[in-house]
Amino acid sequence: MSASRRIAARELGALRRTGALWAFVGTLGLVHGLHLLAFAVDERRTSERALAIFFHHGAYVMEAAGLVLALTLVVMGAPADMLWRTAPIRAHQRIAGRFGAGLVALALGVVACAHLPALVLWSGHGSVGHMAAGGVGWLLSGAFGLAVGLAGTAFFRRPLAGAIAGGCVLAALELMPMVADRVRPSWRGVLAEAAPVWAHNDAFRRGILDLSDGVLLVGLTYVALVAASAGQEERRWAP
Amino acid sequence: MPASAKGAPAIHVAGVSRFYATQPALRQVSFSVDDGERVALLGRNGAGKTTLLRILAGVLDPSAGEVRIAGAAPSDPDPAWRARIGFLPERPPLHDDMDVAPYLRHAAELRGADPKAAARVIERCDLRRYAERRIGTLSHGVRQRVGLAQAIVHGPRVLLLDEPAAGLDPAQTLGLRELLQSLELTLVLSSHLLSEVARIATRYLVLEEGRLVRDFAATDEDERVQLRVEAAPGIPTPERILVDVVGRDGFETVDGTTFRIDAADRAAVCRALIAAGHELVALERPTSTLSELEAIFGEVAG
Repeated sequence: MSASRRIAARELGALRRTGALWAFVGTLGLVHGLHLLAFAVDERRTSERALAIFFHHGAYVMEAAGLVLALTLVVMGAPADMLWRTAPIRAHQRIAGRFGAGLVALALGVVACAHLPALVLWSGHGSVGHMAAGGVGWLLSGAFGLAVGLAGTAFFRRPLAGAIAGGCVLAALELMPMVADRVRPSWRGVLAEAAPVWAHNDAFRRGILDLSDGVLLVGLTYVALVAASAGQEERRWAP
Repeated sequence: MPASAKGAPAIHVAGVSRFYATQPALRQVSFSVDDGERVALLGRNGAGKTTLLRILAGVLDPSAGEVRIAGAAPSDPDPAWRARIGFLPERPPLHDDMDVAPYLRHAAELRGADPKAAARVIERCDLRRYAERRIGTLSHGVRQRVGLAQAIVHGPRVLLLDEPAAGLDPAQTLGLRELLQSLELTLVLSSHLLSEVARIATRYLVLEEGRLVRDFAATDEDERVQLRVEAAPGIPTPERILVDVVGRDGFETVDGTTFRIDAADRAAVCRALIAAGHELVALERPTSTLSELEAIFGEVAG
């Protein structure tokens, strides 16, 4: 087993043993459930429209959930930080392990919430494909939030400060389309496309698996993970 | 200084300095440690001991100077050399949510060692009773032992310990000492417990305000123990028994009732004296090194 997989297994085990995994999945289900009942479902809307709204807003929740998960993993692992820093493993293996554990937790969260869109399908029209595409969009958004959270916590001495910085980055990216209308036309396109959920979850929320959006979100996640590894390597030498 | 088995010293530190912002923590520290040496870092709080240990463990880079440990530079991008060191920082790096045995298996696997090594180190560190216990529920002394177990589980060539006896009760301190004395590796430890250090280390480095101010070895006296006997009348004298057990050259008479013998002979000598009917009043180590350490420490501390 590679070092990354060992770390992923340990981190996932820690989430499970401490109950953080169940608290995370339960909270996610509660937030998505309230959101579905309060905003998405409306008698005047079609099932497709209700699902699109549910998957769109839910993607922001997943992004924030990824960030919180990153903070949880880093805080839980902090007391044993020196075990990893003195082991013959590279920073990117450690980041990959943590990211892998977080991704599994996010996937469990998505699966645990699958009954919510299923209720919409059962009571109206729609397709399993729509649900699947929405779930993929959620997972990609959550993975990006997780990666940004890991990057933030890698660069800051205090994990909470890192998570707050990561949250600011996510918020800034998501607000870019609002800024886009107020800048020179040459910048407009770039800024409008900078928002991971706003600009790149549109196809997923409508039930379409858009490869270009998927690749872009995976690419952004990869960049965040590379930044996290660089930050971690830099912190190896921190006092 | 004797050459190490592989030609290169286990630890080589040349002109190492470390600054925190503009504050110097280490200044131009140089020394070498051969394979198998047991070195104690001494000094007051803030003297630079922890900084030096962290540099040796490869978790802190020196601002200047060269470090080679177990044949590699800590800044080496290939982290494989880290498997050759074990490090117990002041706060043991433990996962409180794990049980002791799985944690040690995890620590072994991370260092590329056989996970079965965990079972061996559990025995060696006397942790069998706690193997299935959650680390977060253990007392300070047991946590310290688990911390030491993770540092040696992979069979390192160099073991670095930062205040390993801090907060331990006398029985735990004794257990730790016996364990450290039984390890066959290069040891560097920092401690404020001079009496413990005197029993474990064979060489002492004294740091003061980041400078290495003394570097000296333990005296040969420490290989001997001192025995005080209340001689019973009408039986062979203690001296006569000592001659029989260790030979005329195997002991030294301090006075009529006090003798110095090799530490290795103490069990046989004690048995013979008691069997003959003499009463043992005391068996102790001469305190030459401890006295010297205390004097030097007092001198350095002002």
